[in-house]
Amino acid sequence: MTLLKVENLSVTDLRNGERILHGLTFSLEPNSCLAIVGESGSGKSMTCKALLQLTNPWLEVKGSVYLHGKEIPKNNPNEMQKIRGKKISMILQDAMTAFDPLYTIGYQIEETLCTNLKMSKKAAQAMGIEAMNRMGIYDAKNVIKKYPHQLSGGMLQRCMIAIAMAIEPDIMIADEPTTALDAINQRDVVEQFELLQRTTGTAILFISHDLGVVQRLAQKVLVMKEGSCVEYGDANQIFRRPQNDYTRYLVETRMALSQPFRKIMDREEVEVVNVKSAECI
Amino acid sequence: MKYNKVAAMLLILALSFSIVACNTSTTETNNEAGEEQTQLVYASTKDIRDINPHTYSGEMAAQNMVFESLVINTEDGVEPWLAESWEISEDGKTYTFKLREDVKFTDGEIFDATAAKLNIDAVMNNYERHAWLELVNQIDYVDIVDDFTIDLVLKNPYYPTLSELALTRPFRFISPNCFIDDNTKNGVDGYIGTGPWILTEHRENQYAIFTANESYWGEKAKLKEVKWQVMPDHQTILLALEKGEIHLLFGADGDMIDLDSFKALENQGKYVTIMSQPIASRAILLNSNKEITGDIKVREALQYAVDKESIAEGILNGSETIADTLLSPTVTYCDIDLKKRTYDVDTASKLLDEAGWIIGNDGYRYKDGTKMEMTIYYNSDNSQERTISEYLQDNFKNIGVDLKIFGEEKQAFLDRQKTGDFDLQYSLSWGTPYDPQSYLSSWRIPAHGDYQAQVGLEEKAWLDGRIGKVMIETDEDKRQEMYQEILTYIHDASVYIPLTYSRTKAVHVPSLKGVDFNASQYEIPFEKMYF
Amino acid sequence: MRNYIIRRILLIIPILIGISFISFLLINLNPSDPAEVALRVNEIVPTDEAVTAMREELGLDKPFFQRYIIWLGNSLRLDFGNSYVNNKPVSGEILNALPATLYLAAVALIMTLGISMIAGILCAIFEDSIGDKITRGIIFVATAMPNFWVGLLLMWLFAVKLDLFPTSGMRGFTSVVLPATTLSLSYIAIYTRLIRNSMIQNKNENYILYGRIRGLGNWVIIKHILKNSIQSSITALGMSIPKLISGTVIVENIFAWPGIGRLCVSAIFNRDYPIIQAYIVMMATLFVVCNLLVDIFSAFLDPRIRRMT
Repeated sequence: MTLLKVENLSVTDLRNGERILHGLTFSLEPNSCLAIVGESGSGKSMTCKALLQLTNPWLEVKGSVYLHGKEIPKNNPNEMQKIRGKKISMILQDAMTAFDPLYTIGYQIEETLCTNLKMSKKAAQAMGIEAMNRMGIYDAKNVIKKYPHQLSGGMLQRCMIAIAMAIEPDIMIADEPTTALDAINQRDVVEQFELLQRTTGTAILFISHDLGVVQRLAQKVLVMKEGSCVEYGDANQIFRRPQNDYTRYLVETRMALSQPFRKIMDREEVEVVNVKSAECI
Repeated sequence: MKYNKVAAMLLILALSFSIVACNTSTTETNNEAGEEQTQLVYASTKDIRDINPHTYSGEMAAQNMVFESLVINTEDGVEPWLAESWEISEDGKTYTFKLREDVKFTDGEIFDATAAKLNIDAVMNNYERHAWLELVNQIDYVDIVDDFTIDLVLKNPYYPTLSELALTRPFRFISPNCFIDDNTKNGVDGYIGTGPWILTEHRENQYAIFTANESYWGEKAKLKEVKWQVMPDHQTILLALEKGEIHLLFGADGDMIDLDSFKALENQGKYVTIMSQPIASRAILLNSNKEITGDIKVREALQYAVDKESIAEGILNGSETIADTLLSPTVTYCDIDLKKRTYDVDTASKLLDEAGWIIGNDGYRYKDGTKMEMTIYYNSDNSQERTISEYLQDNFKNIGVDLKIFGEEKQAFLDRQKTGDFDLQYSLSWGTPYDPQSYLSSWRIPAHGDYQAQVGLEEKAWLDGRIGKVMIETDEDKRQEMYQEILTYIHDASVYIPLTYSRTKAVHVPSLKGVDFNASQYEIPFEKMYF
Repeated sequence: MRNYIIRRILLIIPILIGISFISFLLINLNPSDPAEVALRVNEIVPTDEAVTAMREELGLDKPFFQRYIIWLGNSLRLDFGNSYVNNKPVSGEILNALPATLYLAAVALIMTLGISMIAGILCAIFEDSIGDKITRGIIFVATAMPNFWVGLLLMWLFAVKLDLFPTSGMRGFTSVVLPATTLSLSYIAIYTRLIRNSMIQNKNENYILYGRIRGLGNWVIIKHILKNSIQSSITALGMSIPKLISGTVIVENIFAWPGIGRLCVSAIFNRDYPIIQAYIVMMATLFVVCNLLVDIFSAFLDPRIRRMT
C-alpha cells in the first residue's frame, strides 16, 4: 500500500488570489526516498508545510493527502498534531534557529520524545542520549546540558536528525538539510539518512536543490518549477534522460556545479573505512 | 519551574501587604437608614496637623474645637466665656478677669488662675513668634489674685485686648500637664483642652476623630463625633459629597470650594448652600515702592480702571458685594465717608496723561521711552484669582497699561509678599474679628505684604505711628477720629483697589441642621450642628 | 552568574555615591538660603540674628564638602535630619508614608502584570480577530487619557453612581481598587501591546515552526512563545516598579491616599528641604537597585545574556 499519496495539492494566497502551488500529485512508498528538486522559490518548502498543515493562516490548502490509505482531515488540528512528529517528522534547513534559545537541547529533546512517545522524562533522556550516540555525538551527556547558541550548526542538525530517528516516524521530510552545511558535514548527514532508511525503514521525502545528494539517496524525483510539477518519475530516468527542457537545464547546470562534491565523495569513500558506502551511482 | 518560585514570592508579598493595609483600615461607622446619625463627616483638603493652641502649625478650625479662650467674639461684641466677668481699670491698663469655677480640662485638671497664668506666660515666652498680634507686645505680666481671679496688666491702654484674647490663637488654654519643659513653644505632649470636643484619634494625612466632651461645662455638642476627613483634591470632595461619604463642606476663600462648583450645587437643589455675611475684604495691593506704581497718580488712575461690577457679577456669580472702600462700612470704626471711585475709563486715562504716560502706537502708554507694564502675582491654586487677574489685564489694556499675569504656587506667592517683589498682588483681609485693629496693626510688620506695598509712601512712618497710637487710645471719639485719619490716608494714597467683600460658604446635606457661621471665618461651629 | 551579580553590585556603589553627591549639590544650588527658608516656613520673621542662629543650628556655616560628608554619614544611618515644618525626623515621616505607597504600587503592579499578560497573550493568539482589534482600540484610548481624568471618571462611575467602592482614603481592601486601577491603566496599555507584539513576532520564528513540526501541543507552544516574549517585557516592567512608586503623586492626591507622593509634594510647596533631599536620594537609589535586579533577572531568564557576562 502506498504510504503517502498526495492528490492535487494546491495552495492559494487568499489575500491576493495568487496561486502558489498548482495541483501537485505524487506518492511515496514505504522504505523509499522521493526527492523534490527545483530552484529556490519553486515551492518545495511550501509543499512540505502544506502537507503538515503548517501554512500561514491566509493561505488556503486544497487537495487530498492520504496516509496509509486514510485521508488526513483538514479541519481537525488535534488529529494533525498527533500525526506530526510521530508519523510524519521533518528536519529544517536552518538548524541554528530551529531550537528555542532559552531551553537546553536536552530539555527540548525530552519534550519531543515525551509528547510523541508517551514515556517518562528519565526514559526520554536515556533514549535521547542513545539516539545522539548513534548520530555520532559521543559526548551526549554534556551536549544535552547546553543551549542552542553554544552548539554548532552541524551538531544541531545532527540533534534534529537524532530526535527524528529516535521517534522512528513513518515518513521523514528533510527540507534542504545539507544546504546550510559545509561539505564534510553534508556527507555525514547524507550518510545518516542512508542509515536511517536502512535501519528503520522510514520513507524519506528529500527536498533539495543539490542534485548530487539527491542522486545518491532518491529513487523517485519530483521536479518543481514555479509551484507546478514539471517532471515526476524514476530518479535514474530523470537524470539520464530528462524529458522536460527545464529538467534538462537543471541537471546540466547543477551537475556541473556538483562535480567537485562528487569527487570528494569518491575520494573520502576510499580513505575512511568506517563510513558505509551506499550504492555508487 | 523557576517561574513558580518568583510568582509565589510576588503573591506572598502582595498578600502580606494587603494584610498590613487591612489592619490600618479605620473604624467605619456604618449608618444604615433609620439609625440615628451621630457622626458628622467633614472634608478638608488639609490635615489638622499639630493643633498646639500656642503655635501656628495646625488647622485653626480644629484648634477651635478643642481649646477655648477667656472671652468670645460675637456679632454683638465680646461676650464672657471661660471668664464669667471682668473689670477694666481706670487707666485702661489692668484687666481683672473672674474665671468660671466649673471648668475642667479633659484630663481632670481644674481650669483655675494658675492654669490661666501658665498658659499666658507660655505664649509670652514665644514672644517673637506672636509679634504680629499687637496684644502680645502690650502685655506686661499676669498676676494671680486668687484661685479664680487673674490680673492682666498691659503696658498701655490697648483697647482691642478683649477681642484679641478671643482669637482662635494664640491665647487659648491647654492643660498645664501637656507642657514640655514648662513651655509650649517647642511642642506639647497631648492636646487636652476645655472645649466641647476631644481629639480622640488622629491618622496623619488621613483623618482625625473628635468626640464630644461629655463633661463639658457649657452646652454640650449635639453630635457624638466629628470626623475630619482629609481629601486633597477638590473634585474628590464633590464626588464624596454626592456619594454621601461626607456631610459638610465649609470654607473661606476658595480653599475648600470654588464658586462655580458652589453655584452648581446651589442650582442642583440637592444640598443646602449657605453664605455668611460679608466677612473680609478682597483687594488688589499696589506697590508704592516700585517704579511705575510708586506714582500716586498712576495708582489713582488704576482705581478708576477696574470694572468691579463685572467682576462681582461675572466671576463671583453675584455672591459678593462690590467694595468701594478697603474695609466695609459695617466694620467697627470704618463707617466713614470716603470718595467713591467708580469705573470710569475716561478719568483713568486723563490721570495717566497727566502723569506723563502717553499712549503709543501699539495702544500702550510710554513715558521717556519706557513702556507702562506691570505684573500681578496670584496663587496658581486659586482659579478665582486667575480669572480676576485675566479680567484686570483686559481692563488695564483699555487704558493702555500692559498687565502681565503670573501664577505661582502658594509658597512662592507668599514669599513674594514678604520680600515686596511685586507690582500688584492679591490681598485678602483677615475679616472680623481681626478687622480693623489686628489687620491694621499688621501693616507695620515688614514681613507682611501690606507693609511692603506701603513702604514707598511718603507718610509711611507717620502711618505706622498713628496705627500704634490708635490701639492705645482710650477715648472712643478720639479713636474714631484716628481711624478716619488712617483709613482716609490709605484710601487717598490708592494703595488698595478694593474689589469685593468676601463671604464664607458652606454646603451640607439637608439632614444636617444647625449649620451657622462664627464671627471668625476660620472657625467652624460643629457643636451647634446635629442631624 | 555569581560573578556577574557580584560585579554588578560592586558597580552600584560608585553610582550611589554619585547620586548622593548630585542631589546634595542640587539642593544646595538653590538660590534661597535654607536657614531663611526654615524660619519663613514656620512664619518666623527672618531677622539677621535669627538667620545666623538658624544657620548654626542647621550646621550651614561649615564648608560644602564637610557638610556633604556629615550628611552622607548621617544618611547611611538613615538619619536625614528633621523636617523644617514640624521638626520631626525625616526618616520617620517617610517611613510613615511609605507603606501606603508600596501597597498601592504593589497592587497596581500585580494588576498590570496579570491583565497585560492575559490580554497580550490572548491578542497574540487571536491575532487580527475582532477581539484583538477591540482590545487594541481600547489600549490606544487608555494610553491617551491622563491619570487625573481617568481617576475622577472611575471614581464617579464606580464609587458614586454604582456605589461599589469608597471614593477615597485608605481603608480596607475595596479602597485600593480604584486608585490602583487608575495607576495601572497606562502601564497595562503599554505592556499589553509589548507582550502582544513580542509574541506575534516570536510566533513566526523558526523554532516555533519546528516545535509544531515536532508535534508539540498548543499549550506547550504557547509556553515557548511566552518565555521568549517575556524577555523584552521584563526590563520595561522592572523599571516601571520605581516609576510606580515615585509616580503616585497625582493618584494619591485624588484618592486621598496617604503615601510619599503626597508627602513629597507638600514638602516641595513648603520648601521643606530635608524631606525633599531624602526623597530624591531614596528614589534615585530605588531606580538604581531596581535596574540591577532587573538585569540580574534578565540574565537568569536568558542564557544568552548569561553567556556574555
